[in-house]
Amino acid sequence: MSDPTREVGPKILLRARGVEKSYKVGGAKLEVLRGVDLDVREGEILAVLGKSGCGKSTLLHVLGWLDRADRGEIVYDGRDHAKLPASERAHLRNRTMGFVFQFYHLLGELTALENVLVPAMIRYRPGTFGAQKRELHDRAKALLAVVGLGHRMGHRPTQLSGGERQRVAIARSLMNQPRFLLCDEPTGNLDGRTAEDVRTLLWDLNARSEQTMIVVTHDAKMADQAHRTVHLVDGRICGGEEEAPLVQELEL
Amino acid sequence: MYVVFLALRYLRSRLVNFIAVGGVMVGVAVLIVVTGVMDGFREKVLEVLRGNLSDIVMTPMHAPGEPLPAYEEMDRRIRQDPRVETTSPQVEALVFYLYPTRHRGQLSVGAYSVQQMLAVGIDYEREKRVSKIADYLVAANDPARPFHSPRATTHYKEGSVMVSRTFAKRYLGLEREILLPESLLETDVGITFAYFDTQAEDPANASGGGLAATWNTYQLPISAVYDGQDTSLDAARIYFDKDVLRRLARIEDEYHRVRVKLKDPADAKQIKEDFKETFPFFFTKTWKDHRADYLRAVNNEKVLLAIVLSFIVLLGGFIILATLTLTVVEKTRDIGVLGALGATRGGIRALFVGNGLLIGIAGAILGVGLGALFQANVNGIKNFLADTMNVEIFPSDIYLFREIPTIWDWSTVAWIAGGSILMAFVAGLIPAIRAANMDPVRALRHE
Ligand SMILES: Nc1ncnc2c1ncn2[C@@H]1O[C@H](COP(=O)(O)OP(=O)(O)OP(=O)(O)O)[C@@H](O)[C@H]1O
Ligand SMILES: [Mg+2]
Repeated sequence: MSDPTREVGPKILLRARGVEKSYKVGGAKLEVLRGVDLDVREGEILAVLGKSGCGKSTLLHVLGWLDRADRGEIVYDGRDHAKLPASERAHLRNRTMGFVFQFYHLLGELTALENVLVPAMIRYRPGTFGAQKRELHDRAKALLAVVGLGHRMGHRPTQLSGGERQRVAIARSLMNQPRFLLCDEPTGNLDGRTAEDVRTLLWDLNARSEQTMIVVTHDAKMADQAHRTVHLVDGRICGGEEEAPLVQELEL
Repeated sequence: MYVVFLALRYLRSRLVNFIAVGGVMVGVAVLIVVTGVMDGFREKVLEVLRGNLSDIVMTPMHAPGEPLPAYEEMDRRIRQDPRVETTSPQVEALVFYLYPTRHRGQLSVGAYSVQQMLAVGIDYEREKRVSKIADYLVAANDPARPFHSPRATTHYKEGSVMVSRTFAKRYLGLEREILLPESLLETDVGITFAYFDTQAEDPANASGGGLAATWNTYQLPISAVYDGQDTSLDAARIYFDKDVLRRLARIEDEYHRVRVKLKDPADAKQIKEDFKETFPFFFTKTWKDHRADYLRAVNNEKVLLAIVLSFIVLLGGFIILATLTLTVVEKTRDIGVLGALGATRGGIRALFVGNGLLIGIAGAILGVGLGALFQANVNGIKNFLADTMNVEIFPSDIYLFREIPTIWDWSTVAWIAGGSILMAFVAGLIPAIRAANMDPVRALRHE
């Protein structure tokens, strides 16, 4: 099937240099990122660890072009964030990136299935969407089935548990088959067994289609099995250059 | 795709949106009904005016010292104009209609009330060719000869009269169609009126100033009932045969009006100018001049009402503005999510503008429907109010007509509907721009 020990290629998909980000709270300045240098290689699973409140979510937002850095450059797939117009950024985000937010952020008005379909609805015009409606619905249903929610497709977020919502959010992030996945504690609310299923799903995807992933996590097991683990400490990345431990025990 | 999908979802999810739709609907419906009634009213005034008059009305002036040309001579000269089709002369006299006084609904014996009336003497054969009098007959002993009465030869030697339905309703008890106009033709009473005769020959009546004048009273049968549909004109007008009125009111070869029918009514304005020069002894007016001020007032009122009522639609706009502002606040996190998933600013803007537009379009469509329904039944509603609550919303003595006239003018309707949709668009634009300018990360952190 897949080879978890596969060597990650040398091509760098995302490069961050000297990224700084601070928030102004009242009169004080809260420096969250103080010069992040980070390379994410194509096909790699990168685990980001850090204490609560150290700025992991902020980092993901900045790397995913959701938020602007105060300083520094972020080059994704050869394109500099600062030099692209907003519409182009939105376009790239929609087609090539998938987000799993820490707080899931599902649309409350929509059912689970519709939530999963949202990225495709954003991607296609009504005519194009209509033309491949069947196919898209099938894909969305398959994704929900993979995260174990095949029987809850018609439910609204309020009718789902936290963990279930998180799984819907994971299915949604995969809808447009992104090559770059940014996950903010994707297993944070899941029990050991389901967390393991989700991890297996992500790792399988990586193995099959060489999807690049940044995974923010507190889950030690997950971090262990990533290609590489970095720590966010005092607004900087530490330990990034260590090779990831080879994962022998993983059987898919 | 998400724009349409979510706009519909958001619309469906909140009750306020339906209130906004209702607001727009009521505004559109009211505007449509009111302009429809005003336009219908104006059109009806024109139509009735034209039917009661004719294309051109000429009134001789009494130029001192200069005798008017004889009618035949005048008539010949007017008809020489190739644009004129035919003419009809009229004589007029002021008479006083006498009717028994009623006191608290009871007849007071021997007491009479007096109402001033215009007696118009026509040559029916000629009159029917210049005005719509023939169409306006509702009852006659002999429709071909409306002044023919079988009673005239026995009881009343002087002839007969033609009264209006409005007159009959007001003075002869022809209420609410219970009594048919035909029944008036059979009554033996007829109508009584007095004429103030200033050329009386009886010197015994001569008063101090040497004026020999006397009141002559006559009682004539009704030989026909007409409905000129203009309650104010009709109530004060009785038609006589021209020669009968000449005899009763001692009008010799005078004539008081000449009605002219044109081959093409569109020439009226030009002919009026021409005739002013050719016939300086006459006031020449087109039919439209007769109620010009009135028509202007009606038009004015329409514009004013439309402006005032537009505020209802504007109110709908404010409701849209308010609900969308609320929706944007409520959906802040959704906006952030959509932005994070790659929705552009334009898309977010379109989503909320679309939401406003949907409210506007739904309101406009429902409003047009409601307006059509209301307009089609406006007379039913009027009669219902009159019958059950005794509220007259359209008193015929003020508004000339018994039925509320309406017109369905598609271009006006399109303007009203289009205007309210545009307003919904503008009302939606403001919250939409606010939504589009939100920072997605901030929006995501919104609780
Ligand atoms: N909009 C903001 N305004 C002010 N301070 C902010 C804002 N967003 C984040 N912060 C602060 O920045 C710091 C980093 O926040 P962030 O959410 O990135 O932490 P995190 O590492 O993801 O934490 P956790 O593990 O609990 O999710 C926090 O101290 C937070 O209070
Ligand atoms: Mg976080």
